Amino acid sequence: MQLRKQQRPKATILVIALLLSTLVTAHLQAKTDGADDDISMGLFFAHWGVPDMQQLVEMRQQWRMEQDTSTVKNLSVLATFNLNEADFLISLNKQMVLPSSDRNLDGLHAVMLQLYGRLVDEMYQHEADEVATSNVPYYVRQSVRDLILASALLGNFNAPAPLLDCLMRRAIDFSVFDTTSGFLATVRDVLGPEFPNVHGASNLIAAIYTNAEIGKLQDGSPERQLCLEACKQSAEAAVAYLSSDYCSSIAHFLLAKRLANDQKDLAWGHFLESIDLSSDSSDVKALSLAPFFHKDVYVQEAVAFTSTYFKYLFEDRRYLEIATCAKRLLGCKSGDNKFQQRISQRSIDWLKKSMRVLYDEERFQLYNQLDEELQHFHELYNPATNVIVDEQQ
Amino acid sequence: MNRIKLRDRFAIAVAIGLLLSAGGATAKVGEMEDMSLDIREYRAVAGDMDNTNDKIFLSDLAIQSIMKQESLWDKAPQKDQKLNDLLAVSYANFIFLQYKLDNPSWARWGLSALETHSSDFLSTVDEVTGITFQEQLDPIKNSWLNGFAECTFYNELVPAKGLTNLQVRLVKQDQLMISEKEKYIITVAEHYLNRELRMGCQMIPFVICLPPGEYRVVDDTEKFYPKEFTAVAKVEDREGQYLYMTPPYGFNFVPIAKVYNASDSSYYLDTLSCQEFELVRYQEGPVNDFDNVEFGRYLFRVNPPFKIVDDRKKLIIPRDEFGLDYLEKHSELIPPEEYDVIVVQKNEALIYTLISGTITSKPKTGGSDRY
Repeated sequence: MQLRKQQRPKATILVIALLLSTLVTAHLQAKTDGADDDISMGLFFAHWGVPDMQQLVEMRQQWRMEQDTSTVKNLSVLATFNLNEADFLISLNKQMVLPSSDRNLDGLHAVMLQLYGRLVDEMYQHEADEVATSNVPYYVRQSVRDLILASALLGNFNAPAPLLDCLMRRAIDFSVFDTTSGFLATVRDVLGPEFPNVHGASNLIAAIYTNAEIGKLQDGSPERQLCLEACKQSAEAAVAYLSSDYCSSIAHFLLAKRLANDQKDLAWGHFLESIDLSSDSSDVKALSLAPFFHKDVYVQEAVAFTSTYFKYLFEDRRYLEIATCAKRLLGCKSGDNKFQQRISQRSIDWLKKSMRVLYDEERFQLYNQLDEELQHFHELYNPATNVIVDEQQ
Repeated sequence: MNRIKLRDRFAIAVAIGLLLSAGGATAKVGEMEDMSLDIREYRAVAGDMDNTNDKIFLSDLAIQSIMKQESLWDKAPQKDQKLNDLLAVSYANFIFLQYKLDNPSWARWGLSALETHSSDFLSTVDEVTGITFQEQLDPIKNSWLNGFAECTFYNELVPAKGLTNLQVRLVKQDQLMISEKEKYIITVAEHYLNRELRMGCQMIPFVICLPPGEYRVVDDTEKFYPKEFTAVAKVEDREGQYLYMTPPYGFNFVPIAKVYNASDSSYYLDTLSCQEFELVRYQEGPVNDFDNVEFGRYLFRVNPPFKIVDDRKKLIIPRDEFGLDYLEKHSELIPPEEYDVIVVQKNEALIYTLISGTITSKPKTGGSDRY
């Protein structure tokens, strides 16, 4: 499961570059509006709106070639901070092209340090009560986004963890972000239990935001395909590197959703993992991600998945596994009658179909086994009366 | 009436000024406190980093932070006890961090810097460990650092020409015998050397691993002469056999001039040509090519209309006479500032200051390292 950086998803880069390019014009608007960072809005990397990579490269080249006053004036709209960000993204791009190049990695380190240094300097240029209304919140989001980007795409690179932590600490001190929702809240909630595993945390954040974007893209469009692939790759990396239960449960859940069409057995395994690792503790409920990722959501999706998964098992002649999977799912929410009814009904339907096939093939031993399983589900759910039988009775 | 108003205005202005300066000082303390917390967080996470790139980046983060704090402390109008202690604690955390990262060059650097600051905080208890700073620093200083070989690199490259941007590499001769830990320590020593070179430091003590071994300092562009040296352990009495790096044996002699504008204090940097600056090897005659000048005894002079003066524009050498045996003096025996006082004057509008002349491109043989 360990993903090497040479295997980093090219699709991720492609989708980032593609979607970044759609938001060039949104850049300055986002800056002036303060960019509402609702989790359901926009693609992770495109959300904060920066020009696409090629434009940044050209801009930087132009900047170096023509350092006359007119060029400076033309570029002044971007301010020095954004030029450094351009350097950062260019360095990151080079690093991705030549992942083994220490010199490029050094360059990336240098720009990362510069970004952080400038951001901190910028913060202290303002009085404490002015920071929230200045450009600092915008810069904080940009910097956090950049650091997450680097950590997600590079190999097991966790050194930015304390840097992110210090940035978040200042962001809280200066009240520059909403601590209950949004991008920075997500970063804080994910990085907190994973610290200093910023590589795993970043991949999870990438998976969450690309997953949110998928629903907004047109079915069958190339962008959607790239986005699906990017989400899958990020979720895979997250599953491989995350260690905390709650974050891992989200990663398993997102990966299960992405695998559901093509690798149904793997998807089923990840659904079960996500349910097992989920928690209803008050600490988890307080997290900004809790409304979107909790046990009920996972179970609901897993139940929805059974409609195709049972069919897949049936067609693959793995009849007994239908009952096993159904029972495993029933154990997840033992007190919910409607839920049990739904699972039992679906199981009964597929078990009956399976038994008909077995009868025709005269495989009576397995037929009898399924019959026993069927009785179990009938005990839970009586199709004739459509009434759930309480197990305790 | 007007006088009173003016006086009031003045008083108000003074009051505002005081308030602003007080506010500025508070802001500096607040920023220092935040930066100090940063280093503490870096230190806390240092033990969890096992990847070389992670370690180097974390070290760079801490270096940036401590240098910023030093700068803030330096600029603070009032250096009270709190500010002093903040900086000292940050230095201590910096040293602990570098210790955890196995980075002896920067740990040594931090210890040297810490010695120049207040020692009052040393007896206080570190909140992180519950032990005094003194108790934690002593073993690092007295035993851990003695497990390494300390060398001193004399930087005589030409800052004005950007030669300090050269990336040097440290190469251990018997590469097959090198362990992963040794490789890491050599890498961080390389980073340390390169950073100090970029900052224009002239004497750079750095630390490499034991057991003693043969090393080379090289650069990829071959503008810097590959230099061999031997890492030697400190002796037990701690007097230490420090290893020095002598200047290169050969030079591409580039006389660089600082050209002042007579109308204001601005200047630019220029290079004198063979026609303007004559170099003569002692008992061997003029050198017509400044490339690959051998290390040895040289004389130089400037051709008319130049003349050599001191930095107060007083004529010290007649224009047609030879100057000092510059290159011979330009060795580790003479403090580097010695060769920065020779001034070449072209006319009243321009004054040339000869500031250096040590660049190498091709390896030369001869000479020996000194320790």
